[in-house]
Amino acid sequence: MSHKFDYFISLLLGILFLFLWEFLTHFMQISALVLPSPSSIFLTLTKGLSSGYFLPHLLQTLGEVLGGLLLGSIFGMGGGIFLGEVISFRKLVMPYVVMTQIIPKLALAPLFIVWFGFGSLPCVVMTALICFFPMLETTMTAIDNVDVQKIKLFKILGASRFQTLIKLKVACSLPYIFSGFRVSVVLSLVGAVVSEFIGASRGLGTLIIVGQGSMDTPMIFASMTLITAMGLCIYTLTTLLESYFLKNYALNRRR
Amino acid sequence: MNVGTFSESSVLLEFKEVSFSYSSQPIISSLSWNLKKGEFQSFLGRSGCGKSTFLDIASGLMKAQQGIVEYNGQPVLKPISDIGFVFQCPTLLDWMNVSENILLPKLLNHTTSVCDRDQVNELLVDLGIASCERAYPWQLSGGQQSRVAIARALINGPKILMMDEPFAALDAITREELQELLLNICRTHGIAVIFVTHDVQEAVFLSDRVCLMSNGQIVEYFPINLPKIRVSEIRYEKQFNEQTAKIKLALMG
Repeated sequence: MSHKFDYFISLLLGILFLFLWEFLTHFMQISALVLPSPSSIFLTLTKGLSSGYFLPHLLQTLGEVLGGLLLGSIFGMGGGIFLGEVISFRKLVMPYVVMTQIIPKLALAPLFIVWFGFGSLPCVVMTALICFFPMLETTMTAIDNVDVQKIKLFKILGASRFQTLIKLKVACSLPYIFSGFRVSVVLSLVGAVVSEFIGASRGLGTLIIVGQGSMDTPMIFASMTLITAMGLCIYTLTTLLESYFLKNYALNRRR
Repeated sequence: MNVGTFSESSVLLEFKEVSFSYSSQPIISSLSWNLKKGEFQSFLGRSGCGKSTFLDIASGLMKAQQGIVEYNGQPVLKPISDIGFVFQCPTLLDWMNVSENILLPKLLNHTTSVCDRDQVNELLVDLGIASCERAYPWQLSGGQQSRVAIARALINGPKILMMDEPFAALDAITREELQELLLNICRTHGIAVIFVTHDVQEAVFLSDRVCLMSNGQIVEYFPINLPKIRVSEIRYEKQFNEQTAKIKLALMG
């Protein structure tokens, strides 16, 4: 009951904020170029959606986000498991991995256009690169911090190194891997949209740039609304997946 | 020094002049010791005296740097398969229910069979946790978790049970319950036990012999002259208290 009440209050706050925004834009006569009212954004959004104008852009960005997220997460998790398990190799490569992550990703975008051309490929690569590090870092740290006594138990039980890795270390790390994945989900949207700013002809990021060029601020806000909605859907799906896979874990139950 | 007088033929595990050190700091020094079939031995000593390292070497987890460790007359070169190990923390796997946790040793060795279910049920009844079969570790109390850890150690029918302060985190009443339960199970199945503890009363109540450790050596053995069948009331008897006081004095000295 209290959960439902919390959601209700939260929704009410959101509606109140929109009303306040609408009222202030009219009352203070703020130009739509600077800050459009929620009603004009909603109008642009419904018009764009009903005419099918947004659809190819939405699908393009969604494809880039999912592609990049999948690629970055698989490599990040795989790399994290490997570097968490083989400590001697981690010491060798970790400084270089950190260096590649310190380079601002935006600075790499022009280079990716040179390497991969215009279109969705550089955006997917950029998104994957951004999603890679949180997954690598959380997986590696979790694998490395599994309870020593549990590792000892597996040794005594005659488990092979592979069994210990999969059935103990990865299984124990799953809640942390999911938390890294949630961070990657949020960052994947940043990756896809920012890379579209630089070298794409389609996508919600491109729409923002087009909106900026044509001084169509409601279009910018409508695109941002779509990006947020998409992000929320992917994030919610991730938490549902997490609840399913971690349903028996103590950490998940205590939440 | 008072060394136990068991016949050589029944020796299960033996240390012959075993030494072990970490970066030139001796942890175990020239230690000779043995454990007979069905014998219950407790190890007492201050923190850092080498008890845990002793257990690691005895289980085959670590190799002796000098001397020989023999199990059934054969040198121990890898973890012994005939042992069950119980840690201070129950070390249960969160995502597995009680039955799956108990079956873990068999799952890892791919030796699960149709009879296992009966064996698990038997252990659940013996340890008084039959109602928790489908529960997850986080749904259990500390005492119940310890019972599951003991059941897991017993599932493969071990010859030796090695226990590293398994009841240290439990309340006094649960601890006493588990002590009696453990004694009954080990006596019934003829399992030898190496029990590391800080609690002198616990050591006296459970053991046939108490080994006092200091600086990586067993400095004194105390055979416990109490009836084989031990009930809770024995703790209030004069003989029990005398033995406890004697060991406590030696530990402080």
